[in-house]
Amino acid sequence: MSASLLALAQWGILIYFFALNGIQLSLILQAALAIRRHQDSLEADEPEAIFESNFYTPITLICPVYNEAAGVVASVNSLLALRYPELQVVVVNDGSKDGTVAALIEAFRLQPSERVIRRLLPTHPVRGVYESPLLPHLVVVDKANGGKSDALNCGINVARYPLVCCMDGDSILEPDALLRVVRPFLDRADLVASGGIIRPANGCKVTPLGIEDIGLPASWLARFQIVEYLRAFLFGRVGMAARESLFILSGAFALFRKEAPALAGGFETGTIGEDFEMVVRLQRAYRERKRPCPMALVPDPICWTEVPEDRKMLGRQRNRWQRGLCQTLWKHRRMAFHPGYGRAGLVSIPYFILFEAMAPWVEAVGYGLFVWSLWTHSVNGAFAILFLLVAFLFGTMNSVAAVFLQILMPRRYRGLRAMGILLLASLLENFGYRQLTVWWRLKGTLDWLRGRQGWGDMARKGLASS
Amino acid sequence: MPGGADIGLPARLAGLPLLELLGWLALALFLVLGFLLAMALAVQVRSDRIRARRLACHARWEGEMAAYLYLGRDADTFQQLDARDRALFRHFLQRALLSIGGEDANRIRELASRLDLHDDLARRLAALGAASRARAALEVGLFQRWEHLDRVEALLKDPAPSVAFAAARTLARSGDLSHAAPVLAWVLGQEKVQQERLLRVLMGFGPGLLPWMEARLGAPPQPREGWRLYGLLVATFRDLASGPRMRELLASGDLELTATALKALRALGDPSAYGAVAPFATHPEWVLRAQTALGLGTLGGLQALPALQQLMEDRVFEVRRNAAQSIAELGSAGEEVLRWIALGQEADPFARDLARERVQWLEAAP
Repeated sequence: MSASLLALAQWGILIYFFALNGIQLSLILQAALAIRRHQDSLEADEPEAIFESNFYTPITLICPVYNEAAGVVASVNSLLALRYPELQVVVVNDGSKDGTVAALIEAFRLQPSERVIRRLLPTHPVRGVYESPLLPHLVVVDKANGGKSDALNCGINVARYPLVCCMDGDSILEPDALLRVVRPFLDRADLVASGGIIRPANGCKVTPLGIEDIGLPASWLARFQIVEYLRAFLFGRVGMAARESLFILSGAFALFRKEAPALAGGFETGTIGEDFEMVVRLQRAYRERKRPCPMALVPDPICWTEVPEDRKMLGRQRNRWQRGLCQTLWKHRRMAFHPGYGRAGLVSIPYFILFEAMAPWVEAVGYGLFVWSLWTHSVNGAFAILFLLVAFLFGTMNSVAAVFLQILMPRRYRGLRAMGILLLASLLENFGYRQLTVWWRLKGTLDWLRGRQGWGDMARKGLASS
Repeated sequence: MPGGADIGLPARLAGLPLLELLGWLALALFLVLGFLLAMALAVQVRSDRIRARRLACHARWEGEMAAYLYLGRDADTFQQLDARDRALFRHFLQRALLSIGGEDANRIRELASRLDLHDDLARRLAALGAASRARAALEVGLFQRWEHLDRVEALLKDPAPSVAFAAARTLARSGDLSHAAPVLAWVLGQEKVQQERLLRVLMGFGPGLLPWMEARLGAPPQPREGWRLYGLLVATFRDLASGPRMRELLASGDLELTATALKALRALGDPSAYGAVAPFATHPEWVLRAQTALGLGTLGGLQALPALQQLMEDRVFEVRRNAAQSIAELGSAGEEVLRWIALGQEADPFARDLARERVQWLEAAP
């Protein structure tokens, strides 16, 4: 009996492994083509062309902040420097305890305002609204703490324009980020949301006007995360967007048609991964109303964010991401394999269940089985070692391909040294870092099963000091 | 290994040598990985070199171009152009032409001809890469190589949207109305939201496009899309002669055509159209009220204030915003009205909010 179970587990892992790598390989190819096509289209029609036309859609940018006093002024400065014909910037302070609002009031000479806020979505009470006579398109809302989702909902209530861009307070956007991310909305009238590529800002030279010089951080933990981000965005999401199966837009930067989150009831409070949950809920809400829910991803690096350089913080972040993933998938389990939800139900949800939520478990079982099988001689030893080698080579090839693809991008890491470090990080992440993330994600799943909620405190160095 | 072949994963399965297959797979992956690593390093070095060379060339050419255009230096300065920099130089000139016009632009075109930079243009118009085709199509327009227009027209059917877009831009830039029909057909074949963006392409044909369209479209309102584009072009060109046509469209009963006509009449700014536009302030469709809110102030001036104040209390934000903008554009009288609404406790809260914002904007304006 135990021998049959062992054989079943071994075969399961083998099939899982080849399915996952086969999908990733096809995603790499599709991502490469999509990036190339995108660069081609920019040759003939540059993003700045919007300024020559009267036809564009105004955007409200919502920036929720919580205990971001260290970097909030730099972040808001970069938002105000964004190039777009008609833009409103709404900064929502979600009950910070560290003087975030005071920093904003001082830096932008804000004054209390009696602005009327439309309660399109329910939120925690608003304590005050501040505006600057010098910057008429900047609004700062100070509200009681209710979480990021609540802050985003509050921002949607304040938003004046038909497109809302949701982002993190610690993100730095490229000056032409909005010009680029709005393009899919100009190409498709029924588009619901679009996003861009997020990259770690650690090691980059940050000025009040954005990223001046792209560089690599000294910490290997941050370097591994750079490779991870490249892999996740360049072929994970770009490849899926090319198949029209995009199912996640980063909370660090995403543009929505305002009516979409309003139709879905706003961002869910009490959810850990509000960005993923919102995308799934949008897909569900639109499909249940028999409407298509197209989403796009612009393969341009347009948003930079600070990644944790401390193992404890990174562990908390990964734990939170895993809990958010499990929570959302469980909540919307009805969509899985349901033909009524189209590709979302038949492709995306099963993919996320099998290859995202379950991945750390399969990997952990794989490691355990490898050691157990060698110890008990229950599998051909040469086969087990070769299998581990193939798994390592496949994983590394994916990372190297992602690092390679970033050379095609306009904002890339320059110099042979930077490329060498990134390639080395692609190799080294398999020894220790990968196993650590598996551990954090396993713990995240267990915490979710135990019903643990909350984000946990995330201390920031502040991008301005990078 | 003892027992290894009996349970779990055997070395052979159904006659297939699993172990050997896995060994070959590992070797293949190892080779691919090595290839990718080497390629990544090589491409990085090449990209960095190209970038460095491009920066150096551009810095040099900027100075030489200024000397050529404004200091009377001879074109021979550029004769020593390295063969591998020809494409880069062509692109440099192309970018210069986007911001330089008149006699200077002609001298740049003359320089490009002297250096034979377009000798392979026909080949590049049929290149495999979409970016090359798009750039070649734009080159025809910027350097006025009109002998290639027929080839460019064929690119309107290109599967890559960016190439078709570049072809349409070039054909319109030529101003040659014999190419207007395929460009118009291409524009009308795009999604509506795209069609509006593509107006700037059609504008390239110049104001002569309007009588040309009128002659081909027949009596309004059909074809609807054609007349809609016509109306938007009237607004863009501010062609006063098309005013009567716009009033005709205003009475067409079609929502989109009426909205377009309202937009066009506002752009024409003819006060005699006020009477025809004013009744739409109470139309049940908010799209028409929003357009009217913009037009009333421009066409009626101060006499439109009561109607605009009503529109400030409209239930639709876009209408309120347009009305506030219209009032703000009426000068000091409009500003007074906005201040009055902003301070008034009994005013509609949404109207008050918008009025406050407009007043702040006016105060912040230099």
